[in-house]
Amino acid sequence: MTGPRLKRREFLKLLGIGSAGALTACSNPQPEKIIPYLVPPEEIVPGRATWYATLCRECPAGCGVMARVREGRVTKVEGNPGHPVNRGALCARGQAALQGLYHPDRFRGPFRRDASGALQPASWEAAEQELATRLAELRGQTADGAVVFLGSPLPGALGQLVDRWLSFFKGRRLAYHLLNDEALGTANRLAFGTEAIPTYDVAAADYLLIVGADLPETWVSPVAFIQALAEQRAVRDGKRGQVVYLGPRLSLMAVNADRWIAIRPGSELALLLALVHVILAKGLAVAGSREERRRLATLVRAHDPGATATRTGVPAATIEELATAFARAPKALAIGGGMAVASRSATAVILAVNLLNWITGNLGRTVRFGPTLRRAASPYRDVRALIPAMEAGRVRALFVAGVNPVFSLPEGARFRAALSRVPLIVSFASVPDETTAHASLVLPDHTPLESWGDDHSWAGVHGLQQPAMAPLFGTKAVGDLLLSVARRMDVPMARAFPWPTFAEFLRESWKAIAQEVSPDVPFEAFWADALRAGGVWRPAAAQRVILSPRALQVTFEEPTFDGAGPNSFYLHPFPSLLHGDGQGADRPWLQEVPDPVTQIVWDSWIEIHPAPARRLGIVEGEVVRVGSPYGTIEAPAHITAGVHPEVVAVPMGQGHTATGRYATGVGINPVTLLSPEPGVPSGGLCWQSVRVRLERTGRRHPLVSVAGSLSQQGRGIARTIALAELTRGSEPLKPEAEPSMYPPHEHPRQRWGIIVDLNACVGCSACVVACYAENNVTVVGKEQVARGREMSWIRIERYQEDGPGGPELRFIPMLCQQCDNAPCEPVCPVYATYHTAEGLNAQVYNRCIGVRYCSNNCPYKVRRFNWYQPVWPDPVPLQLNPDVTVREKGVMEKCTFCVQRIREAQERARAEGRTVRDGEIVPACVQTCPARALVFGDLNDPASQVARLARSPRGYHVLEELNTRPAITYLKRVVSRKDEAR
Amino acid sequence: MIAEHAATPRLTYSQATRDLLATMRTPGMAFWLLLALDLAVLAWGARAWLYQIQTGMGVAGINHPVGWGVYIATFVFWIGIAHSGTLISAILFLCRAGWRPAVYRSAEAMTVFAIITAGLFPIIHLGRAWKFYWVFPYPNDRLLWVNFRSPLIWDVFAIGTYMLVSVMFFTLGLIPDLAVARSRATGWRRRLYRALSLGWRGTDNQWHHYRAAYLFFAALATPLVISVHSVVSWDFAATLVPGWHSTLFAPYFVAGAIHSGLAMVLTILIPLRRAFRLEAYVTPHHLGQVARLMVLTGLIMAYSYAAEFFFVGWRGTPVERELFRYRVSGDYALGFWLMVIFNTLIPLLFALRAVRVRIWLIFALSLLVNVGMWTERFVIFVTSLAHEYLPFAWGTYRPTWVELSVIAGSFAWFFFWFLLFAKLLPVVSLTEVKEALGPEAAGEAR
Repeated sequence: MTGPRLKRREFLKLLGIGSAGALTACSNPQPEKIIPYLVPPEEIVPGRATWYATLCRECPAGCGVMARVREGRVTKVEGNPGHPVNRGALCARGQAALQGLYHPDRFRGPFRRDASGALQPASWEAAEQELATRLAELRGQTADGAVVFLGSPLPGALGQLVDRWLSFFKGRRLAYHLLNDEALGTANRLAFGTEAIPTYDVAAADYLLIVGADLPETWVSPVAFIQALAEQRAVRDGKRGQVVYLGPRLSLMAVNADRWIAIRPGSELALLLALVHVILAKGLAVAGSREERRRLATLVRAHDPGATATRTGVPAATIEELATAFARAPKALAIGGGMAVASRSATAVILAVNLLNWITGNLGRTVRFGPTLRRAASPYRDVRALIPAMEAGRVRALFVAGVNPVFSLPEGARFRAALSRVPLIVSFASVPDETTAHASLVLPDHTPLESWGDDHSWAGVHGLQQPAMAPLFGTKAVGDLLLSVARRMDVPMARAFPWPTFAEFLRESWKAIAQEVSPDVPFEAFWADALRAGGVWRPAAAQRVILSPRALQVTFEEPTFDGAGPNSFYLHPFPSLLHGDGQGADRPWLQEVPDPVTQIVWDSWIEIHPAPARRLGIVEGEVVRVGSPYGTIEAPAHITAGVHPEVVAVPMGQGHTATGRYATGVGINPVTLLSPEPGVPSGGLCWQSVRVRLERTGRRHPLVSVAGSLSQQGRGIARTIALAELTRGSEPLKPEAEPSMYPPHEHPRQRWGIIVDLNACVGCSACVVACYAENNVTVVGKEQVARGREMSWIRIERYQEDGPGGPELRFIPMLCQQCDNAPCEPVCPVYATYHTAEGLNAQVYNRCIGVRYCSNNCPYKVRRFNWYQPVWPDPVPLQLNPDVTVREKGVMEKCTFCVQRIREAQERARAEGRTVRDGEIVPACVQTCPARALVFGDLNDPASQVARLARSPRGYHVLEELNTRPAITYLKRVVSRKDEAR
Repeated sequence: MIAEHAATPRLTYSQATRDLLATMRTPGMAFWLLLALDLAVLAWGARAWLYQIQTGMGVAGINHPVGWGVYIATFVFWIGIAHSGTLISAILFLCRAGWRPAVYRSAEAMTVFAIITAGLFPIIHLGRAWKFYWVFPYPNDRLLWVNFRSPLIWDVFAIGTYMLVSVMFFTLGLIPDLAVARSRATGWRRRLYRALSLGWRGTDNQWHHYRAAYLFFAALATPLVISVHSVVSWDFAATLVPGWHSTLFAPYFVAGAIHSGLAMVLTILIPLRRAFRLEAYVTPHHLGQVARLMVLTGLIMAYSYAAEFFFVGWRGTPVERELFRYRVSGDYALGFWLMVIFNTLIPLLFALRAVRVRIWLIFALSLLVNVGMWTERFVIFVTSLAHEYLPFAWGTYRPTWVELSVIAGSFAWFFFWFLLFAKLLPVVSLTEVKEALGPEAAGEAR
């Protein structure tokens, strides 16, 4: 096998870096000495992984992660089981953090722009000196706001340090997050007097009404919400919670709801007020004084179901039914938010949601202000106000950290032009992007896995981020840089920053937390514990809130839209599950893993309902021009019934023009179509505020989808079971196999198996990315995916069934079934695939000659062939998991159930003189699943969790009739209506 | 116009010897040009294969789920071609068919060359072609062995046996003729023929043993005709793949092989006969007989196609039903209908005397059957893999220039050997032609 191109010298160097990093745990920019393992550090054993608890910084949710370090380099990140936000799970984007660290286009040191306008490499000394010199000019003579630090929300010590540093220049910090839900905070302030985001007890809700908010995708804390949704869907005492989704598009949230009510953007307000109207009219209101109810009734007087039906297109009967069901549910919960409701009435919509929760008595029951989440982001309004300030020449120095405003602002082009009026632009980006392309100095920051930091967004949760490895390249942490620059400034400033490193500053700032959390423990011990655990957390007291009188004094106004006209559509840009606001677009795993709903890879598309598409003559894959009053984009059409007929939906996050080799030139950026005017009163970006015209171009741009057929052809692949049928008791899985000529396989010790609970799975694809990371699975690119050559060992298959309310999608994770009677095994001429004593279909890469017969004979089509030699651009070889062989061109590969993890656990157990415990082995997909839909274990042990679940009345095997006897048992998805169960 | 049953013209032994050995004269310009063209195509195909080995199988159009494409279709096509040689030679010999001597030598040569061409394809389609020898069970210090449950290993043995027996049968039949050639040749050719004729002197004793051996080989080769293609069909029938998993496959493939082999005999013999002026030996009657046999094999094909559909309807599994719907109306429907028309309807035309007496028409129709039989293999393999159990994993396949170049190269490889054969060995059996002429022809010559 051809290994990754890692030279021996480099390897030894890394060993040195690793030991240095582990010993000192600080962030030296460059190792000064190469220290071989002549005297090995005590806790480092070559071949054995070390785990460091740290934080995920791919989105602001603040999940805790564990970084697996082998020989001084991070090879995998996994959810931190102890962290209260994500409890061990991690989403697809979190898994792909690794690719930010090992991105081949990373800056390997500082750059400065020379006279000709080109970026030239510089030394840190020179770059810092230049920065200090130019800042010294600004110091003292600066007007307020001449120095601006535009960064991602920095919810911890780094934010404090930056603020302190900026104060010497009378500077201002803007914390920019494109997907910030400003209206949520504003509406909460209006209703309850606090801007904080409450705890939504999704898991406990019997009836969940979701307005716009895409819980499993990008909203607030996706991992936590997926966990809660899975719990909410689970059958308890013969009952399970209902989920209704209101929104313009069949998003991942809508797919996972029992019912999707497609509504026009802007009409959700009327609908919500109508629900309140019905609840009041039917006397179902339980909260509030008589006076409050009377006032509320006046507010919603105009919104009787009849009038609302004509306004929203949702039948009056449906409105009444929803209102009644919501009010009668013992525990109901309405959640509003996200970009789908971010119209010019966004605040009013969320206020209406708050009123709905309040009036039905769910405030304090399913909506609890404790613990609460505080967003450290500035409103969009403030970020936008930076543009005129720049244009007017008032901004003398701009620091850009972790954000990409040229790409992500609706007025990106204007921002770019305004940059020319700023004399000093310093970018801390670690990878080139659209904004760095205009920087005068690029001082690359470490990636999060190489950095110190902390996060206190959730009340009571203090997450601690530590470097899991020494910096890969000559980068410098922003905090260290600021300290270093401060030392180069005048004496008062230098004195104000006595900390040698940012790590010291962070430690110092945690002394206050130590005081607060555990005053009796010595700080050293507290610090060591916090590092080991990834932070400290304690239960936060619930805060009692009451409805503010102001909430009943508002006037509800219907939102307005720009660009109205005949034949215009509402534009619905939606955040992408995999790319978020665009930060994830340069991670090849996230490009290659298909969007679960559309199954499209490496692209952007424009979703159009079949009816208008027919009317306009637009066909699938035809490039259409979408024009708003603010801009025009061109992208291929994707015709789908999963969008409201008056809406065109466009995914976000793509359309980069200068963000590395993977994202550049892929797709389009719909942000340019948006109205740049901030919403009132929230100050947030109005995502749903323009109407667009569609024009055909006649050009074709085929979209690459990995799905063969949308229909499962009645083959019972992704099955459901009606709740009534389940509680009545249906027959368990047929256990015995058909007669065979051959003796059955003996599995004397274990037979490994996986349970896939389709009732829990939301299709978030975290398992797919985790598998890519763990098993060194290659990325092949759009062209090869188009030819069916993607290498994923596990995939989320999507099938569509026609439901009463429109299309219903079903997801089913498909991976090697490790059949007992495996069709792949007998056909291999050279025994490259064979049955192990533990029931695995082992694949011996070195023995494989590549006849592909096994793949032809695999009914599950889960085997993957290496059509080409895998390419690992530098420094990606350092990321490869050393426990998993890198495959050569011409051999077959497939899921191994992470056999390397099985062996590791078995060896550990043997060394400790015991047997492997149930749940001790967790393959990468099982480990990361936020829904806990996957369970791994020994089917031979009747007490194991898998053996118990395999006997579930919901259990079935895919393609059971072929007598393959898979080791994977699927559990049917539970649906409530009889007509849904197929 | 030549009457179909025109009597063999009165020929003498010496004239027959002269005529038949005339094919082995020093080649002219046309031959060299043809050979150069052939070698050019062969070199192009070899280059394409090397490119594939170097870059990876990705340069071919095969993909997931269609892991086998035109390479395997062409492999089975060549195996099929390899059948008629033995069929004509051995089975017609055992049946004492009078028209056999004229055609059997070229048919046997075709068999040998087709099988060495077919044998390349399993290697060409390997992801790691350089490890091809791992499919042979040879003793090695790593204690690696082959999996005898795999139909691909059965293939190795079936094809290997068939190749050995075909080569032996072919060389055995050549011995008396080469002895004649030896006496007329000079230089290196003389030495070559001397070696190959194994000291043949034409004694009664030698003739006695020769006839016994020939009969023995004919008897040995006949079951192989059936077995080798049955085994090749099990590569498919022994799988779970819908459209492959059928007990019909063995007889179906054997019939198809004979059908395509007969078509190939006609395709090759007709130009050969013209080029070497062998009209007197390979008569329209002979060609007509082959064509008439194709009416029968064409009917067997029609029956097989119908039986496939019958079984699908009878078993009634939805997966197979959907597959056969896809075959007749899906992405490859054109191929399906071409195969039906070319393989079952076209050969029926050979029942008409008016068609049989027009040599050019026989040639044209035989080409169509060749195309149809190749298409049949393509349709069977590709549609089944493209449309299997999991609808999510359905896909399509289209060959690339690399695959087409390799296939063109395989034809060039086959014809390269055939061109050498035509110039180095007697293309019509001297011995048997003389035998057919009878002893009186000898008298006149003396």
